[in-house]
Amino acid sequence: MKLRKLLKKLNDYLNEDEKQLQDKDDGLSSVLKKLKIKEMDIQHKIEIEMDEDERKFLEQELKIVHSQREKGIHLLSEMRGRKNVQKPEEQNPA
Amino acid sequence: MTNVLRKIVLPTILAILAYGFWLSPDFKAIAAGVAIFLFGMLALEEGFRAFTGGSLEQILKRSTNRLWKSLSFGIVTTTIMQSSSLVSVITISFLSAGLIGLSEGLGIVFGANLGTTTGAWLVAGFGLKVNIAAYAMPMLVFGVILIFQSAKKLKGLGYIFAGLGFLFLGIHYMKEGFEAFRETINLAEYAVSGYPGLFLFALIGVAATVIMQSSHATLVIIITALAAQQITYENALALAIGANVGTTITAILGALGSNEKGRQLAGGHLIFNVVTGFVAILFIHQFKSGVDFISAMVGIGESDYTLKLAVFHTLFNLAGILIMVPLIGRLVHFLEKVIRAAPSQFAVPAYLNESALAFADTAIEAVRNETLRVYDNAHEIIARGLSLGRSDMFSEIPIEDVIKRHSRALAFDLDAAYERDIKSLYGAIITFCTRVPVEVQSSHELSRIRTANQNIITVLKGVKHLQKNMNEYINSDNAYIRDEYNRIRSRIIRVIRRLDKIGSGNEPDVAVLSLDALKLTLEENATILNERLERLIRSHHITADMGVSLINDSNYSYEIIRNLISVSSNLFHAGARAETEAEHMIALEDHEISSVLEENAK
Repeated sequence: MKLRKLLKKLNDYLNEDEKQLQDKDDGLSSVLKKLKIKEMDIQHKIEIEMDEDERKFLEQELKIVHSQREKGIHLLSEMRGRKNVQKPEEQNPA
Repeated sequence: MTNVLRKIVLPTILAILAYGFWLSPDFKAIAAGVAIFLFGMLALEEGFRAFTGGSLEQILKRSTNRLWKSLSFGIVTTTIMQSSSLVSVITISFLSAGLIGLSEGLGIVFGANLGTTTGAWLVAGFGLKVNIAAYAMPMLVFGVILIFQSAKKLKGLGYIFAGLGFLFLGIHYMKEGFEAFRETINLAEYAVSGYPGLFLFALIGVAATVIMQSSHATLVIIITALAAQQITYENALALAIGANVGTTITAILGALGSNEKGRQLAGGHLIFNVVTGFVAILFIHQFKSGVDFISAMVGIGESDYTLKLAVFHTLFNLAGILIMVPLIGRLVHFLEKVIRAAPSQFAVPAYLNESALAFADTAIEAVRNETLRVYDNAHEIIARGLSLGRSDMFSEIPIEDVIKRHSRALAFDLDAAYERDIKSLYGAIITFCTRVPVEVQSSHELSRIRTANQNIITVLKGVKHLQKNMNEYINSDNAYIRDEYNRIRSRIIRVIRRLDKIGSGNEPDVAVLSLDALKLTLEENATILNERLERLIRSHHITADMGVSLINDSNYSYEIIRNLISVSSNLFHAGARAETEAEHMIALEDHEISSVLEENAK
């Protein structure tokens, strides 16, 4: 186990760019998960909200969260696409 | 206890002064003279402040940057103005306004001491008498006219003229007040021989000059007494030495209304004149021989005491300069040590220390924490600037009730609070940021925190602009304008409360992204407000002036809210750095918010 950890660290060190991309990927995925939970939470709140103004506000917030998720998913897929393009290049530099 | 004492001191002083005025009209004239004189000093400082950073500062810097230059500056200006006191007080105001440093100021004052001795030479040699006091009244009139001008430089010049006018007017009143005491000076009564006599006459010279506010007047008395053989020649010289020391009273008075820099200069002036006086008394016989020698050389008559006194005056001031100039560095050090600035009232950084600079993470965390302090202080200023209480602003009390509770405008000096609680911390943050390791300086995190600081400053500027009209209109009889300004206050409170909630982690932990909803509300409100405003003006519920103010202030409130959101966006951070970065990547841009807004409108 320890050896595997050490090897991972060594790999990270040698592939700094790749690690950065992986960190970004992890960050985006984690935030997207949170946004999904938030979206569901707002949806639930809208269903039970009686006050008209407050419901309107929540609906707006829902739209915002939805747009943010769309943007996040787009960014993530773009990044993963780039990653996939990079890999074969690395394997066949010629 | 000290607070109670402080409260008692001022009324006691006022009561004693009032009683004194009632007892003696002379005392009243003297006190009024001192007051006018100090007012003149304030006006003079105000005037010179208008020229800071401009050509006057450049000229002063260039003409005083070397010791010989500052000495010559003092000699030449005093020769032209024929008043060392005036040159001293002007130098004090230069120093207080930050136009020159202490050592340059001391150079000028030393030079002024020598320059003042040229008066007698001018009178004797060319029959030329410069009486700058004669211009006091016209200066006052021109000064006041110039003060009413809107151009900054003209206004500054006006303050300088008026200040000079008031200085002379003050001196005039002091002289008038002391006139009654003048009769009591009978020099013959004090005739004592040897060194005790010299010191006694020097002291009399000091007292006479303080009383008459003029070393020239003392010299006239000395010459008269000498001609009437009431005093010996040596005693006359001692009197002249005393007059030279006594003349510093004007500078000391001038320094009363000045800051520590001015007081340090007045202290230096006094030390110079006292030391020079001591040296002159100790070596009086050598000086006497020197005077006789020079007098014989230039052909001054044996009994021409006016010119002989002038020679003596020049000689011992020259000796004073020769003694004191090499010690000027030490004198500066001593004065700065003895006369210190009052303990700083300004906020001191709590997190920015040397050890925080050791690592990238600690440096960033220190800057973030210090910025949070600035933000916390800014909240207090925002609350007071909006005529609210901070605790109410953050409470759970319905906003309408908070507004009702604070329906009266609050007198609050926002500039002073900014100087005290924000500026020094902000300055320290900027300086610290330049010292962090280079790789940190270019990091997203640090650049966001720096932006957060700029956002805070913009918020405070906005509140300052808003405060002026807001304080007027929340007390207005016109309910429409009052409501509009209260609506602006409500909106800001609502946003601050919401940001506080998001920041305190009560919301799901995507803090940065939670701000986008607020941005949307802000844009939406701006559109609604503009429509309502047009309606109000069209229906004549508010005047055109009110409308203009409201449009401007709505823009300020928009900027305040926008920057408040931005501060939070730049300061909030998720547990992991990658997540914070991801949140900033996902956060919606202005045009994306606008398209959500457009969708809503459909």
